[in-house]
Amino acid sequence: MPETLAAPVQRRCAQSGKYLTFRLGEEQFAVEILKVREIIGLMTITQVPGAPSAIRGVINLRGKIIPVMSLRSRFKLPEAEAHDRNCIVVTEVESHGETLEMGLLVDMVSEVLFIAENEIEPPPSFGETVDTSYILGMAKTGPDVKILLDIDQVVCEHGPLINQQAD
Amino acid sequence: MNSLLDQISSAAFLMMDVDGPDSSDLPELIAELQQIAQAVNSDAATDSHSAAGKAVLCLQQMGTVQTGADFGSVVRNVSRTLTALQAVYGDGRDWSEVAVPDPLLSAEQGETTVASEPSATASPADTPSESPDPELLALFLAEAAEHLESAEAALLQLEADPGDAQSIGAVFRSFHTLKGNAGFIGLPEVLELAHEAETVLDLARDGKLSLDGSAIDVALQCLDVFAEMLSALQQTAQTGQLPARNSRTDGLLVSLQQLARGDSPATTQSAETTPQQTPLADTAAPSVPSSASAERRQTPDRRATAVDAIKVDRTRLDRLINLIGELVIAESMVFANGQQQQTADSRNCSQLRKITRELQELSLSLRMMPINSLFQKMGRLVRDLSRKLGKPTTMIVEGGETDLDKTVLDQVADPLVHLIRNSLDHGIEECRKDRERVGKPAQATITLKAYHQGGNIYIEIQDDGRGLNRDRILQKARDRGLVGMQETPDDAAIDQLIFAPGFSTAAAVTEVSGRGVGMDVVRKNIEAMRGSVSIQSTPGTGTTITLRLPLTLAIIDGMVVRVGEQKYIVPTLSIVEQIRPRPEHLATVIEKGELIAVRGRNLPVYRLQELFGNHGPRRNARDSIVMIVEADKKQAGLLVDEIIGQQQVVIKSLGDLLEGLPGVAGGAVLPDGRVGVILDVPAVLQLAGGRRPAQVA
Repeated sequence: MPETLAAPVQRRCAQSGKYLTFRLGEEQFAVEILKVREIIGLMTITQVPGAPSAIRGVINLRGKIIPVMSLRSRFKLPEAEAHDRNCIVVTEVESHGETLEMGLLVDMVSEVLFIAENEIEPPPSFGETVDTSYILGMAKTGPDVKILLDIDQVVCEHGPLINQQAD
Repeated sequence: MNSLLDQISSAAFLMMDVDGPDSSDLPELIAELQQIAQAVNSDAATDSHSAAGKAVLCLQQMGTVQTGADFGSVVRNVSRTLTALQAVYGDGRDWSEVAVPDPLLSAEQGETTVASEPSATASPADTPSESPDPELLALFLAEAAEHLESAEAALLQLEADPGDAQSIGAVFRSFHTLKGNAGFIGLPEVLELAHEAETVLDLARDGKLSLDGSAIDVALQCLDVFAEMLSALQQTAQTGQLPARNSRTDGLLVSLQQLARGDSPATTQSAETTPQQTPLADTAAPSVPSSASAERRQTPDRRATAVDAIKVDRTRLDRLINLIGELVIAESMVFANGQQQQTADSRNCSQLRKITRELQELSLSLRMMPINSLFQKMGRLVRDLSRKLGKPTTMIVEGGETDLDKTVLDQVADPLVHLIRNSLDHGIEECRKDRERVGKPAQATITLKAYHQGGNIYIEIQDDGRGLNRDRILQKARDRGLVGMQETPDDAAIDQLIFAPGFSTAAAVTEVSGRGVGMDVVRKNIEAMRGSVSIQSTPGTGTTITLRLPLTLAIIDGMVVRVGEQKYIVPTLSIVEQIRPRPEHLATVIEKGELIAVRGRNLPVYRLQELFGNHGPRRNARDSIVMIVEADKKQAGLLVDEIIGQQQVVIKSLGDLLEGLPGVAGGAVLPDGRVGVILDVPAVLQLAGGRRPAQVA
């Protein structure tokens, strides 16, 4: 996480459209459905030595090897015990002009819903304590607030994760 | 307008076969063009200034062409006109968008043509023409490259055997097809050069001209210029801009015309000099005597039977091979579980197994190509280099039909070039006297050999030169501090010294070699392909360098081991042995490091989990198995809990994000569906030894 929020990177605007929502603990998040390739149940994740700590490891998806990132770890939330609602959301993200696939380990997947423009607000700023560069916006649908994620940023913030010192 | 389009296409094809005003196909071509002209006439406004009108006039000029002199320009004009017509009637462009050439003025009125001296300024023939359709251009470029290759091979063959009718025919056909294709898609410069070259070759074909050394030189230079044009045209595919005229074209055109007239060509360029500005005035310079011509003998089976092949898009091929790989994995997963069902369906099961195995083997062979194409290119290199250095050398090729994976082929080209340069530069004696004094034939020989053995491909580069000068090498090594003054390494060790970075015993740095960046880069590149380089040399007799490479880069033979919950794959190449350690053989150092005694030597023992950052309670080494591995001539032991078995696995990249992790060579899908991490043993040992492993490019 950067120390300062100087000159935030080009932030994309949250747009209306279909989003996949999921939970991490009490919080709800949403990712543009177009970026989601598939959702699979938890399977054995092979650890890769030396990988950044947010990357749990890799899985075999029909013969293709895909890295899996723990979003809890990425957002520095405390780890939770695995349970049978855990899912891996396989996403396609853009990084430096290239497309790559990344599985996201989440507690539980909720639903696919349409979020309209008027339900979206820009992310609030919390000063230096919270990095919001990866938040597209906040959606208020019903009683809950959903955090709309810029998944490209989440996965590839500051360039390929491999260059960062493993926390 | 379909029939009109058909007519345009057929006229274009016909033009390829019409190579002069006396061609028997000319009347038919004229008739076709007339028909097209009439159709255009009745379709568009065709006053003499409109684009359509100009088109009609151009087409009609084919009927009035008189001499060979303006024939070339008429052909160019007509071909550009046809291209424009295709754009209008085929792609629906407007007349105002296409570039129709002006109909030719008569020869007296100043339009310079190819046969007269090309003026230094851009000739009017360079009217900005529409850049060719990118798809057609791409096809043209791919095919043209092949034509150039086969022409080069045939020309080199001709040098050794000037009367070889088959080779003359082959070169002629290459130029002829090049000319035709260039005309069809509208590349005037390529067309011009090809046309002149084809004229010369045609005369040779009819026996009216014999192709001596200087003629072959000129022809080879044409190929070089074509290659330059082709690579310039690669840009055109993206930018839509036609490249500027090549600086050597005009000079070559003059030379070709002189050859056709029976004069010796003016060029004094040797094959490897950089292109000069066309010295049109230097027609008085004598032609270079082609002494020291390199012959190239080949084993009789070289004349490769034309393989009946189709071009396949590479991405599709990769996908196919990937899918077959996944099929094999899925199949082994099915059979790993369903032991019971086997009895019921056993015939179908074994049928399935058989087919899958065969598919796997086939997919591996899909990317295999004979190494001959690479060896051919080396032939040209040897010829040019031997001339440049004044060391007449023959190249012999054995085993050109040996297959290897295209990716390996591509990557072994550079090291091969370097090794051959080394042989010629350092290995072969400086002058014939040196060779004759020791009873060697004046002509040196470089032999390239390729063969399969034990699942690998071996490539040998052998020269009959001086052999390694071990004294010089040792001295140099001592100068650089690589070897202590007291040490006396044996011959084999001295030979290995040449692989040290920056090492070179060349007294002077030549353009060719001597900078000392070569051998160690060669070895690195070969080892990056999981291969090895070895060297054998006898002073006075020669040197042989042997490259060993895996048949394919995609599959690796590995031992699957379990450490805790994790499974790793250790490449069998790196494994020396496995030991169940006995307590008396184990020792600890300051309670942290561990050692194992093997046949009198003490080797360090490493725990993979800890190497990779997982420190947990240590299991007793006595309950584990120690796998002795070797890398960079060092051995060490890896502690594993269980050895699961040997497995051939398909290496899969772990993805861009995880690329380049130290110690990890890649991933593989194991038969149980899980991913296994393939260890990069040299990097693991370096990590363990506390050094950062070098980044492998």
